[in-house]
Amino acid sequence: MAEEPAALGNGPQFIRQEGIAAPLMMDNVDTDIISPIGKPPNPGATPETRAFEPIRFFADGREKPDFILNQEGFRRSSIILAGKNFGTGSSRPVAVSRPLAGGINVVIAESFGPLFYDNSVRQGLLAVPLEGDKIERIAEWAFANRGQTILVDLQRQVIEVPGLDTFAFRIEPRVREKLLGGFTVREELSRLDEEIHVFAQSYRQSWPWIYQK
Amino acid sequence: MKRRDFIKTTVGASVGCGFIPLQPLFAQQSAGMTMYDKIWEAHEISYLGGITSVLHVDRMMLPDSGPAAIKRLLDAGERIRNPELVWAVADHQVSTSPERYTNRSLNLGSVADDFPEMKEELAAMGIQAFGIDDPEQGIQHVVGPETGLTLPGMLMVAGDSHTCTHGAVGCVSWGGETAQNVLLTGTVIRERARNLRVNYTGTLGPWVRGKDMILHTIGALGADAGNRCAVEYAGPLLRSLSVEGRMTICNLSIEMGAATGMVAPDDTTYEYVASREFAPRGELWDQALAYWRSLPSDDDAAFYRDETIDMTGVEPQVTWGISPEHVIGISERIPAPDDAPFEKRDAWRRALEYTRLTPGDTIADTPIDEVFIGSCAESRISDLRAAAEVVRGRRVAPNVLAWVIAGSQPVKRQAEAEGLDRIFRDAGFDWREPGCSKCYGSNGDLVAQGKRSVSNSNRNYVGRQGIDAITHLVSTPMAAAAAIAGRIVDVRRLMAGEIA
Repeated sequence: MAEEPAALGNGPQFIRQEGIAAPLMMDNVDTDIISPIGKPPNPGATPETRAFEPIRFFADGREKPDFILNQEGFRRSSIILAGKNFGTGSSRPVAVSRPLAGGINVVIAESFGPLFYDNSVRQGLLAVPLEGDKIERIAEWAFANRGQTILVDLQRQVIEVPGLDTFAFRIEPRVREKLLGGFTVREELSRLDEEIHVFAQSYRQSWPWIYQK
Repeated sequence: MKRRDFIKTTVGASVGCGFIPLQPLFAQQSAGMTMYDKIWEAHEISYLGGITSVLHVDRMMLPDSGPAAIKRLLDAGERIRNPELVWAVADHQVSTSPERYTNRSLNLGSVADDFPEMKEELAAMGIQAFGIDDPEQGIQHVVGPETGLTLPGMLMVAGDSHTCTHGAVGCVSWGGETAQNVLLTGTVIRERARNLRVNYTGTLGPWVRGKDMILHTIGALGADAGNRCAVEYAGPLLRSLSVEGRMTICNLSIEMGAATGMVAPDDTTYEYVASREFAPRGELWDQALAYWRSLPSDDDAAFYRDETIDMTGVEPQVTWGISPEHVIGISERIPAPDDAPFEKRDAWRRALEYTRLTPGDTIADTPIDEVFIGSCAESRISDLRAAAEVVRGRRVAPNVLAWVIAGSQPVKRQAEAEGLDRIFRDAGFDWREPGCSKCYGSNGDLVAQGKRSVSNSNRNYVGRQGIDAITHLVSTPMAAAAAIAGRIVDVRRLMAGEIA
């Protein structure tokens, strides 16, 4: 085990996650599926099970048996495996905070909706982009090895699937640094305070019409 | 670090919210620049490696919670950076009931009271705040361009996802930013997108408009086509559209999975912008205009992806499923999952199960329960005029609940001055107050459980407009026609007298 880096900031820290990976192998899982807003909570939902309400519960509160997190071996998953465009849709922060409240700390998908992705970086859920065929292999393994865990390691940028393979993933250097250090966005920016200030001053001189509102 | 270094260091470098390699993207050192790249670089304060930079923000747009967010920061002794670049308007949490002004509790939380309470304090800082009592109030993405708070060349950010709408006036705009970060720093940290251009060619048939163009585009290219892309809409047909039509197209960029959408400014844009309340005047206008004219993508700019959409022969569009890519022409039949590309079959099956439609049936004549006309997609005066033309002299079908919500108070006043409200009311529509409403099913403005709504908004996701509610996305005139007929119909046939 690598040594735990201490959190340097006051933001959410992510170093690694060992856990069960639940295949939710759909494309375009949108934010209204992940976290509906403006409607009363489903009667069956608890604070831990509010993510994915529309596909998790019937309107009367009964669990939908075909939903992966309702199935034996996957109830305690902390990693979601998905297809393309996961989190497409709105900017609502609850699209990330509700999965986090349910213990989902990682989503591995072929691609992400841009605003879900930004929210995940902010809130400390690790959104890992990976090629579709690799996700398919991990999903097959997960069905065949119910209850067994995989490791997602941000420091080493790998996903270790026991007996299957180790998958390297790429991530923006800034995202890695932010999550490993546990920085808030404000802390990231505070290091640049002087640079930002200088830019803003000269910007104001150059573009006076922007300030004439 | 400056641009040329940036280009060298990012070829084939790491990626953000998608895994697709970058190589065609920034390998354009000798080529011209796209509009997105020009605006990006004009705002780039600091490069953070990979494809990430810190950018200066020209406008931060806040929703209902804006005044409260500012108050919290001020109370904590914080300083708002560049407050004169901030503005706020109540839209998501306001009631659209005509009683909202007298019965303030209809509005969620204290939102209706925050604006009048803080208005002066905010104004002293240079922050415009439009609450329900203000003559400019409306949906953010209607209000911004309408007031001239949104201008070409800007980097315009907000929380709301449909902030991409503002790109129609020739700026770069996106949602998903948190108020606190932007208020305190005046900046955002962002990953640079690739350039996707969609060229529109051909001609529009009768009653085919911007909404049909973008729905057809999402159907053709897919709901993830814009992944990690900034979309520039271009081409001769696009140029012929009004700024309002362009806004509808840019609005649904996020439904294409894009980081943002935009249209290069042209004379149509300048004419639209010139008279706006907050637009620059005199010498400053000349200065701004000279800059704006330099914004369009260079002729030799390289695009990561270039698509052409020929609109000739494209019918009014209607969605049948739970993603905006589930879309067909009004005379087409509902598709069968077996006809889908292999990887989409499951999604199509789930979609048809949710929308309770049968493959092989026509989408036309599907009975409906509700009609929603409003939202940041299409609630501007030209949209309401188009709806009124369909509704004039007709009646809403007896079993249909139909709403019209002007996008802003100015749009509402203009519509009333033209007598459009009368046309809607006489036909049996509810004529309500500006706000987001049923588009996202908030504050009690919901499609009833399990009911079927024809909506001119932008999302047909599961449960979006209400629990188990089904949404068919269409253009505004198509929504109006559905209200009259009580079922999904071809507005062209209704107007030709072929439908009773």
